[in-house]
Amino acid sequence: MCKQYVQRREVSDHCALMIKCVDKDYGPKPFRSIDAWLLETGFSGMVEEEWRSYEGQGSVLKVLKDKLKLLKVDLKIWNKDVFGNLNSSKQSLLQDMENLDF
Amino acid sequence: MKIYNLNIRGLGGGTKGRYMRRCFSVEEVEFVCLQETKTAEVTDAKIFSLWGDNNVGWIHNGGINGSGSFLSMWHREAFIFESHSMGKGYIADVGIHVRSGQRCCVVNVYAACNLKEKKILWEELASYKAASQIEVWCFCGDFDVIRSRSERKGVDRGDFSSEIKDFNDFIESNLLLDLPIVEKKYTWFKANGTAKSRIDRVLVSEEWLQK
Repeated sequence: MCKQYVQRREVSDHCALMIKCVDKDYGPKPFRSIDAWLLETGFSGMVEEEWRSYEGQGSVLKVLKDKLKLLKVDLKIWNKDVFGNLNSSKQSLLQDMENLDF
Repeated sequence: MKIYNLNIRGLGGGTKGRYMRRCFSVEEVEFVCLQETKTAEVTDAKIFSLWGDNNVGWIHNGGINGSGSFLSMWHREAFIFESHSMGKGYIADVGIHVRSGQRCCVVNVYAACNLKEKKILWEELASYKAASQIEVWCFCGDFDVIRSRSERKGVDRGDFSSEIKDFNDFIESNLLLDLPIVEKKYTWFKANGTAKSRIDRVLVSEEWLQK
């Protein structure tokens, strides 16, 4: 887990920060999605289908959190297999344009 | 990587040097970002005395005649320096972090008070990051801005909503993570104790956490 440790204030009106990573717990990572995914046909259908397949237990909030966690995994796979890497497709399109210019 | 960050308000004489040297060696600090060195130029001799020995690499940004000046230093065996890039308000150092074997970029940030200049700085940092192949990033320094009203106490003047929004947009759009803060909630205190804020911080890319 990486944290910023605020030190005792001694030689300035600011406190020093010590950035340290201890053990292997990386802490919570935010759930993120890319706007361009929403424009892709089949995306919302995929999400809906996957979402329905998840089962949760416990309080409503915990179920939501667990389902988002599962969705994150499926989104990662979908992004890689179906959507493709935006940067590399952009690069290859730019290369195509470059070739056409010749 | 173990990083030490401080707005030092002048490198000063012996006291500040002793204070930092002790801290660097006890904590085995690998990289140091200092803001407000209050000097246009520093010498090797000054750096060696701050660090404790000569096994140190460094880049100093003298600002304008020492105003807005800041300094990055690193342990030469912990961080194999490759290149740097510098602009108004930032020093970016690219190198290999030996312990993790990863190439990374540590950006020392010292933002101006002025809202417009800050916005330019966020844009410059964003385009620098976008143009780079590096995935492991750490931005640390005195950003002179907060992320929410609760991070500032005792300052009534003005409305900070615009700079708060700009800063949050910068963090969001560059996919940076704000590491949890421990020990204290604020990093800056007015001498008479009437005001405090959290204007110093560390932002990292998700890849940073994997090392």
